[in-house]
Amino acid sequence: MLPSLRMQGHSSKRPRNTSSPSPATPDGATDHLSSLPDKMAEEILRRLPLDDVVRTSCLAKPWRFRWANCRGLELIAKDTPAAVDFVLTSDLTSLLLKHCDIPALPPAFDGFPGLLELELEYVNFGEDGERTLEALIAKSPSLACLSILFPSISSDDDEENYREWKIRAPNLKILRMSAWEDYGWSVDDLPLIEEACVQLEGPELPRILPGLANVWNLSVED
Amino acid sequence: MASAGSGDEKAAAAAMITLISSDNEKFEVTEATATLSQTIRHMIEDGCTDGGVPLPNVTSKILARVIEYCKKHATAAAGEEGSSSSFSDAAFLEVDRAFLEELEEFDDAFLEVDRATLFDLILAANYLDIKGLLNLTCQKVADSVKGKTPEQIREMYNIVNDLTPEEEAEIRRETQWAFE
Repeated sequence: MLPSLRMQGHSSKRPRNTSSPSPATPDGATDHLSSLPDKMAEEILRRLPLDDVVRTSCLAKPWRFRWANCRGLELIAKDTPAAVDFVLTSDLTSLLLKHCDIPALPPAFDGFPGLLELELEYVNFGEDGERTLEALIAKSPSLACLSILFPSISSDDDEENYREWKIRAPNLKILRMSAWEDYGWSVDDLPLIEEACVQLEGPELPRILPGLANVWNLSVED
Repeated sequence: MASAGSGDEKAAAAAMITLISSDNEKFEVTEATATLSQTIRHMIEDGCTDGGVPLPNVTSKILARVIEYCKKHATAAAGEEGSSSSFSDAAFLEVDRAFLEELEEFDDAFLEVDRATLFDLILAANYLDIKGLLNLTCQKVADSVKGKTPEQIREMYNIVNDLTPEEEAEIRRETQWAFE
């Protein structure tokens, strides 16, 4: 859907301007906002709703992809399906989804190649949601930090039988999972995992723990 | 560690630290004030504050403001600690609320600065690693941008639009939902 955005999103990560001199307009007024180092520009973007953040992409050239490199971008319930679609087809490094609905992944979704951090808080995955969640994780191969807090997942049958599926993330270091129900999940292929915090009510714990054998900092709560 | 530290901490509370701005002005502050800055806290822990702490990225004008902020917030932190033991719960809550209100008023007044100063404060808060000040100043800028159109933001912050009309049209098409 947005091939140009994705491609250039990658290259835009290369020249992160950390201390460029203050650009000045022709009449000599200083552009304080654009001359902020990335870290502080992100501090500001992070405090804005997503539509405000995304609108900064058409301020000027240096702003075009700045928002996508921002850590802690947050998608919340009030954001529209168009916003969800847009985010799912953007090249992000960090994403927090809170109280929102993720339908089946849009056809244009071909993964988050650069996503390092994914936090899902009270996210509602519709029908066949376990497949959506599995794909979301599997198609984010760079993920280092994954947090799934109390998702709500609808299975494809009425009995709420979830098929078994695995969290596979070759670069994952930190995993947090909390849920009221057994969604059929277990973990596999987490060679770099260092830290895990699992808080699960369902009977899946014996299925999940063997996959966390390499963790040096494990906390299990019930 | 805790039992051995309490005496030292008392001594440290009275200890003074000298901060030296980029234009070579010296500021004497208590350690409690200075350690709101994580950067300076680490320097103190490493024992490298003898002879003063040079801050080559911060001018005296900005450093004076930063110290004003730290003093107020260090006092508030100390006040909270002290009051918790000497008041009943209800009285404590009352004092606490009054403190917070006063602090909020201070913060609001503190932010009444021109734009160049505000951005210098952001840079200083980041360099000195003062979380509360960074939060305060960045929130102020975020609030100024919130709900504004790109045109309004460009005008407010003197941002030169160097996108071609075609590029801008393309971005707006891709992000149309954000304009609705």
